[in-house]
Amino acid sequence: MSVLLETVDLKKTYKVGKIEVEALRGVSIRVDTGEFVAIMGPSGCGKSTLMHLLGAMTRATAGKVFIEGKDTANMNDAARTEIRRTKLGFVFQKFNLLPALTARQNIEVARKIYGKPRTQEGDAHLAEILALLQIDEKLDRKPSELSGGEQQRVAIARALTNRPAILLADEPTGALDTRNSEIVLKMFQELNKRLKQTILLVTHNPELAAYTNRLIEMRDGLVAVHAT
Amino acid sequence: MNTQIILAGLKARPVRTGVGVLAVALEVVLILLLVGLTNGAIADSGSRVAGAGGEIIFKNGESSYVVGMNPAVLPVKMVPEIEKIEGVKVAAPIIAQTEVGGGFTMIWGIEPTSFEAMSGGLRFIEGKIFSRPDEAVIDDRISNDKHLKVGDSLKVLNRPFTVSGIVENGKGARVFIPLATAQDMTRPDSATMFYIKLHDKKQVKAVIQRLKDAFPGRDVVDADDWLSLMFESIAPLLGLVFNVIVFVGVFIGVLVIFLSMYTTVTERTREIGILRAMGATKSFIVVLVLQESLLLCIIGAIVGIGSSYLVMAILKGIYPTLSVLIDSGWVFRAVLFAILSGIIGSLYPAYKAASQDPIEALAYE
Repeated sequence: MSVLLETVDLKKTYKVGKIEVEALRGVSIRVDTGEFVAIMGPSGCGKSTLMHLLGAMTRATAGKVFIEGKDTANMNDAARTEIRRTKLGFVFQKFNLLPALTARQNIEVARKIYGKPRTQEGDAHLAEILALLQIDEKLDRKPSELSGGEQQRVAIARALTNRPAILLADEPTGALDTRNSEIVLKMFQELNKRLKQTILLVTHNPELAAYTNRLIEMRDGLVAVHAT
Repeated sequence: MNTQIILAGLKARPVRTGVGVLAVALEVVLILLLVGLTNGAIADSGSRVAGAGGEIIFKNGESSYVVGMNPAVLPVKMVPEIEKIEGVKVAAPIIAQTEVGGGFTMIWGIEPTSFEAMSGGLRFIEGKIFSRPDEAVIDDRISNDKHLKVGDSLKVLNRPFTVSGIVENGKGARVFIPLATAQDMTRPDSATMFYIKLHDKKQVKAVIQRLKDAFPGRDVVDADDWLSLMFESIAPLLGLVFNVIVFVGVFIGVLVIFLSMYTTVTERTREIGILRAMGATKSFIVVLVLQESLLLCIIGAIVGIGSSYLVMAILKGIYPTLSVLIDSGWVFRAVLFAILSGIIGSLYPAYKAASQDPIEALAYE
């Protein structure tokens, strides 16, 4: 398997008032194509900061982040925006669907932002995802008319509609009950197995790690454990 | 797709959308009605001056074409000299005054015999021409507007008059008083202008030339050209007035659109963060905000145009003498100004939205 994502001695320092906080102190990880990896650690360990850097949402203080061989760590805003648009898909803890739009329109927004014309292949891919996520009959509902689990499945469909190289999921079950959490995690597994979707899941919950192929445990801004 | 996001956004915040639309509508109403009232008053006055009956209007060279604003400086003793000019049938001296209050009311001091010979006479609906110095003739629109009948009292330029007759509107003034009374109120033995009736209408140009030759320094004008000359003469002042009206209108529009879009952008910080996280470019966000503002302005402009015509109809019902002239050119300009306000007002909110950091925006509650 080829290396899809790699960080090399990644550092991020924030300024909180006059105090400098080292959120990441030299993180080096590797994720291969088709992997389902969990990044786990307690609050404040730097996993969210790592997620933001892997998601090309901010610049690194030092080190490198390679996505398909391109270093995104110090790209300007426009280049990072393009990486987010073309290579990454995001799933958030609070679903983050646009409340005024229906589920279908939320997914179409992602396609619109992607900016490429619709193709039959793309439509077929989306249909497959929707069927897998079992939300194809609820697309005309607004987020407020869907359960938390359904909203999160719409958010997953939105994240995957443009075939991103990596799906980044930040505490995707944090706002769900146990039953819905299990459904969503099993769907992640299915997506990984059937569509060979690379998934990087950030969580503080050790139970979630059981659904993934590999675990990266973080502590105090550093990688503490690599485990399979 | 942008349309769906925009429409959903507008629908999700009905109060904000309503206020935005109303503010833009108010801007359009303000521009169309104020310009329409100004243009209407001028056009109405001009067309009545031009339609009084004479073919030529003779005035002092330095006097304005807005006759009600001119002093009475032409000596009435010029009348026999003018009537001696070849082609002239009769010259009627007139003192024109304007009364402001509930609109502009034009008042003419006339000498009944010469005025009748020049204009073919006023067409009386009720009553007769004045026979006393304190009697006045009014037109039917003033009569309806102020509910005046023959025998009622009327104040003209702060002087009491009794209505002696009511005539059909369209011939010169709305209120006619005796020339001698008007001279008493302004300057004795003088007139603001002379209306000249010709023996042969086809001789207008030739007679004008003869009058100009005979009375250098005086202004002699074809009555048919009066309206356009009047607009031309006051164009700079009118331009200034209209610029002020447009500025105030656009300023209101810009301010409200700014507040509306700024509030929207702040309220939707998280949504903008979501779009940015999904890879939406800054220009995508800017276009989205501008499009929403533009749609708000277009709806506001349509409501504004409709409301302007509605307010115009209501005003005309209340004040029958009021003239409002809303032409298509100004309707087009009002829409343009509304759109311009939308663009200017939403520039900063659009910039603010596009500049949001996706991480901070996503953390916004």
